[in-house]
Amino acid sequence: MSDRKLKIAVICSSNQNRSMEAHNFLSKKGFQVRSFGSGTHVKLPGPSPQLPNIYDFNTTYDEMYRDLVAKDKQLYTQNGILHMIDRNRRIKSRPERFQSCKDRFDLIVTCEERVYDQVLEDIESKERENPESVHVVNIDIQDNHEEAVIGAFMICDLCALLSETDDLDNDVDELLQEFEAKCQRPILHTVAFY
Amino acid sequence: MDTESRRCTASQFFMEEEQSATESLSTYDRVVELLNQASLLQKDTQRVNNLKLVQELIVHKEPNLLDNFLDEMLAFQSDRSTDVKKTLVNFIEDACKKDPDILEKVIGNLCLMLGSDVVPVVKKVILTMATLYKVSLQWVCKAKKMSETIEQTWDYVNQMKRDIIEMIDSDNEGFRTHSIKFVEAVIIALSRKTPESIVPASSQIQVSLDQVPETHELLKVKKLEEEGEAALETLLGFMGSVHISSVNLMSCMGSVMSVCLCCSVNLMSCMGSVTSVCLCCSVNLMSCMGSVTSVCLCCSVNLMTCMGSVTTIARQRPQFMARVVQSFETLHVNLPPTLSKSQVASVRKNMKLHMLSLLRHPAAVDFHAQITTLLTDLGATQTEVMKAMPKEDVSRKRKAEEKQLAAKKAKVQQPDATPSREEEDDYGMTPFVGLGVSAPKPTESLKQTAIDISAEDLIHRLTPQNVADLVLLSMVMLPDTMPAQFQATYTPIAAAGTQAQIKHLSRLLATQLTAANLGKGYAEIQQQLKKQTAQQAEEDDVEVGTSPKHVIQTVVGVVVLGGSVPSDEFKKPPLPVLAQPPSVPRKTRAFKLSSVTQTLDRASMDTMALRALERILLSEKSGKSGEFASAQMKIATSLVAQFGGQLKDELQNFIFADLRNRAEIALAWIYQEYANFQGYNLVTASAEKPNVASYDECLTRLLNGLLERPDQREGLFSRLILEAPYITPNAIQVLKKYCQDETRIYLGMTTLKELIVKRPCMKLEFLDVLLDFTSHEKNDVRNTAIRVTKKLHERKDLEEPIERYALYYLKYLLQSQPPAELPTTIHVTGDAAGGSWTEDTIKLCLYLYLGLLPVNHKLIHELANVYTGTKPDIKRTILRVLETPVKGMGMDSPELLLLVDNCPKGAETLITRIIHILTDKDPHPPVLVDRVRDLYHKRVSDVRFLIPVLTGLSKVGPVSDVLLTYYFVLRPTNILLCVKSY
Repeated sequence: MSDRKLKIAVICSSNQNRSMEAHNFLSKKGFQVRSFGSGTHVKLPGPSPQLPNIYDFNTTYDEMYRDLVAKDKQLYTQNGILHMIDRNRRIKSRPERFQSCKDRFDLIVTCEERVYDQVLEDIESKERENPESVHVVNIDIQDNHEEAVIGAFMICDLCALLSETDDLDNDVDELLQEFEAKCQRPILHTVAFY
Repeated sequence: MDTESRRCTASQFFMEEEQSATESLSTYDRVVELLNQASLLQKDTQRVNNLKLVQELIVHKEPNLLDNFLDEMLAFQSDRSTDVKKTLVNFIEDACKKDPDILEKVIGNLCLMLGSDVVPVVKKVILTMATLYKVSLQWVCKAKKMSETIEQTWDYVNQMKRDIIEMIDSDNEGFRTHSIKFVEAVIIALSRKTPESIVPASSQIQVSLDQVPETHELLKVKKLEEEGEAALETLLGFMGSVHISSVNLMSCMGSVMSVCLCCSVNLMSCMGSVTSVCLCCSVNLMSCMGSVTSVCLCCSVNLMTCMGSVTTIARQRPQFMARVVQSFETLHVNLPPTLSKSQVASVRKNMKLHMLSLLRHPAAVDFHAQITTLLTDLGATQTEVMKAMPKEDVSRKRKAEEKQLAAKKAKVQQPDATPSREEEDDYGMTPFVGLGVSAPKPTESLKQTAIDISAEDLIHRLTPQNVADLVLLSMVMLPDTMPAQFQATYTPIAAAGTQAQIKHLSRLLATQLTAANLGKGYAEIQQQLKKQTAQQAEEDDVEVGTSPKHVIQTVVGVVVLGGSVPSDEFKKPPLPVLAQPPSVPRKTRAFKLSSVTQTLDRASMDTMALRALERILLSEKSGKSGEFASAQMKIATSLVAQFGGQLKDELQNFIFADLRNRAEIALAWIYQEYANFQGYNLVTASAEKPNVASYDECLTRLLNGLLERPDQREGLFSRLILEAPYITPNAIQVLKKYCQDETRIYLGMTTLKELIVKRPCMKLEFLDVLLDFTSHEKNDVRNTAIRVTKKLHERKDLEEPIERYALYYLKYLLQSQPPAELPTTIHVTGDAAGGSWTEDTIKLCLYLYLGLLPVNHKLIHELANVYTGTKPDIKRTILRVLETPVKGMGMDSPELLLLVDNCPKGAETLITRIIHILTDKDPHPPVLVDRVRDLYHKRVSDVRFLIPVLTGLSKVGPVSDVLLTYYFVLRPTNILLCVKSY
C-alpha cells in the first residue's frame, strides 16, 4: 500500500481518552486516522465511581466541557478531565460511535478486548455490498492518561510498521509477531470482511 | 384566452417533454464530460471520484445509459492506478447486479484483471466474483433461451471459479484469505436452502440450488451440487490442512535432517562422493526452513477467515451443520502447533465467537452438547452460553428428551456390558454395531461420521481402570516442558467424572483416533464405503467416487504411506494429524520438495545460508557428545567450504570466540577446504579445476587470526600448521611473522623444526626459512634459530644443506660489498650508501658458521681460506668473534692441528689468534706446540707467533733461543710473561 495511505480507525469505549490520544498522535504523524467509541454511551468519571457522567454520542465535546465546568470545575480540572476534553474539542466536534459509521478502513485498532468483541460483532452483523477486508488488532491499554500516552506511542509504532509493507494481507501476521515481541503485550488480531 | 390556455397546455406538454429530454441530455453530457475529464486528470483520487460519479449516474440514475458508456468505462482498465482499477471493478459489480446481461461483455475484462499481477486488484476481483458468481448463476437460470454467448459466459465464470479456488493454495496470504471468502459464496450458491437457513436480511442476492430448474439446458443440478460439495470439502480440508502442511513439512524436515546427519557421519570416514548429498540436503533444508516459516506464519489469519466462512455456511445451509461442528472440534484439539501464543488466543477467541453464533442457530439444537462443551473448553462462561442458547420449540424439545431417555437407558445397560467388552479389548477393531447403547439413533444417524461411531464405541471403554492405564502410559511420553500451546488452551476440567465429561472425553479421543485412521468408526465407515463403491460401480460406472457419502471429510483422507498416490485422491484435503503424543505413528503425505519450494533471489539465499550456519553453530551445545558433534562440525565446515563468502567470516568469528574448545572445528574446516582443493568431492569435481586459493585463504585466515591474538593458547598455532595437510607459501609467510614475534620465537622455531623433521617433501623449503633466521638482525631470533639449526645439524640428511648454507654465507665476506640478501636494515644503519661492510653485516655472515664450527671441525679450513682473501676490516672482526667457537672445538681437535699444519698463506694471524685462544688458560699439549714451532720455522718469521706456546717450548729444546731472547728483551711485557711462565 505504499502508493496510498492506510485508512486507520482507533477505537476505545467512549472516544475520549485512549482513542483520542492516539488520534491526536497519529494525525500529527501524518496518518489518515479516525477515532471512535464502541460503547452505547459516552462515560466520563464523575465525583465517585458509582456516579459517572454519562452523555449521548450526539453531545459535542464543547457541551460536555461546559457541563463539567458548571458541575465542579475544581474537581474536573484536578483529575485532568477538562484538559482532555479541551484537547478533544480541538480535534473534532463530537465523539463518534463506530457502529453508526459507514466508512471503511484498512486497519482497526481497538484498545481493549471488550471493544474488540463489540467491533467484531458489529462487523459480523453488517453484511454489505462490495465487501472488503479489514484487519482488526487489539492492544490492551488501561483507561488512564499515562497509559493512553504509552498506548498512543505503541499504536503509532504499529501503524508505521503496517503501512510500510506493500501487501498488508500477506505480511500482517509476521509484522504483528514482530510488533508483539517488541511491545511485550499480548495482541489479538483477525481479518474481517464488511 | 381559451386558445392560449390550450396552447399553453400543449406547449406545457411539449416543454415538459423537452425538459426531460434536456435532462437526459444533460446526464449524457455530464457523463461525457466526466469521462473526458477523468482521462485527462492527473491525480488518482480525482479520477476515482469522477468514475464514481459516472457509476452513480449510469447505474442508478439513468440505467439506460449503461450500455452506451460501458466500453468507455472499461477502457479505464488500462489505467496505471490501482485505485482506478478497483473502482472499475466496483462499477462492474454494481452494473452486473443492475443488469446481468452485461456480464457477457465484462467477464473477459474481469478475467484479465484476475490474471494481472497487481495484488489489490486481484483481491478485489476475487471478492467481486463472489457476488458475480451468484448473479451469473441466477442469470443463466432465468435465461429463456440458451445462446452461445450465454454458454461462453458461463464457461468463463466457471473457469474463473476454478482459478480462484486454486488460489486457496496460493503463496500470498491475502489471496488465500480472499479465495476462502469466494469459496464460501460458491458453496452457499451451490447448495439447497432449507427452512432453517438464516440469511442476513441485508444480502440482496439470494441464490440457492432450489432456484435452478431440474430440467435446465445448461445447468445440471446434480453436477452443481457436487461442485458445491467439493468446494466445501476444499474449505474444511483447508481448515485442517493449514495444520497438516506445517506438520508434514516439519516431519519431512526431520527426516531430511537425519539423512543429512547420517550422511555426514559416514562422510567422516569416507570423505568424497557423499559430500554432495549432504550438501544438497543442507541446501534443501534451508529452503525448507524458509517455506516452513512462511507456512507457520500464515496460519492464524487464514484460519480465522476460514472459520468465519464455515460458520456463515453453516448458518445459511444448516444441512452442513454436522460437518462444520465436527471440523471445529477437530480444529480445536489440533490447533496448529506453529501458532504463537497470541495467535492461539486470537484464534480461540474467534472460534468462541463463531461457536456462539452457531449456538443461536435453531438447526444447531442437535449439536448443543458438542457446541457447549467446546465453548466451555474455549473459556466461555455459563451465562454467555445460556444467553446464546435459543429457545427450543416443542418438537425439538421432545426429540431432545427422547435422546436423554435413550442416554439414561444406556447408562443402565452399561454396567452389564462393560465386563464383556473388556475381555474383548484385543479385538478393538471389530465393529459392535448391534451391541448397543446407540439403539435409538437420532435422525442424524445417517450422517453419523466416523468420529461419532468411535466416540460411542469409546464411551464404554473409559472405565476408571482403562483411563488410569492410559494416563500411566502417556506419562512416559510427556515432553519435558509444557508446550506454550497447551498452556494457552488448557482449561481446568470443571465437571470431572460426570457422564457429560466422559462423553466429551470420548469424543476428543475419537477425533484423535479418526485423525490417525484408527478406531472403530473409521473401520466401519471404511467398510461401508467399500460396499457403496462396489454397489455404485455396479449401478453406474460413470459416477464412481462422486457420491456425497464418498466425500465425508474424515473418511477420504486415506493417506498412502509410500507407494504412489492416485492423482484424483491427491486433490482431496489432507487430514489433520496428531501433534502429540509422539508415539502415534505419524502418517506422512508423499512430500514433493519441488512443490513447496521456489527459487530464491541471491541475497535472501545468502542470508538464509548464513542464518542456517549460525543455527548449526549455535546448536553446538546440544551436540557436545560423540558422533553428533562431529557430524555437526562436518556440516558446518562443508557449507563454509562450498559457499564461502560471509560464511567464512561467520565461522572464523565463531572459532575465535572460544578457541580452546573450537580448535577441532578449525582443523575440520582446513581439511574440508583441502578436500575441495584436491577434488575429493563431487560438488567441486564437476566445476572447473579446483583452485588452491580458497584453501590458502582459509589457512592464512586462521593463522593470521591466531597471530593477531595476543592471549591465545599457544599450542594451537603450531598444532594447526603441523596438522594442516599442505602449507601454502602464504602460510609460510605467516609462520615467518610468527617466528619473529618476540614472545613467540621459541615456539615458532620449534614448530619450524618439527615441520622440517616431519614433512620430508617440503623440508628444504622450511629449512631455508629457518636458515634465513640464522642471519636475522634480532639477537633472540638469531640465537634461537642457530640453536635449532645446530640440533638439526645432527641429522645426517640435513647436515649437508646446512653446512652449504653456512659456507655460502661465509663466502659473502669475499665480496667487496655486502650482498643484497643480507637484512637491509643493517645496510642503512651501517652506511647510507649501503656499499661497505660494517661490523654488524660481517657478523651476520659469520653467526651460523661459527655456531656450526664446534660441531663440525672440518669447517675451519674454509674459514682460513676465506680469511686470506678478505679485507683487513673483516679480518679484524673475524678474529674478534672467534673465541667462543674455537674454545668449543678444543685444542685436541685433529682438524685444528691440520689447519696449523697446512696453514694457508696469509692466515697466520688467524692461526695465532686461534692458538692464543686455545692456550689462554689450559696447558698446551705437545702436539700443538710441535706444530706451531714447525710453522714458525717454516713460514712465519715472527717470533710472537710462538708466544702462546712459550711454556711448552722451553721443555722441548733450545731452539733459536737467541732470537727469542732478542725479542723478549725488546718487549718488556713479553719478558714478564716469559719470566712468569718459567
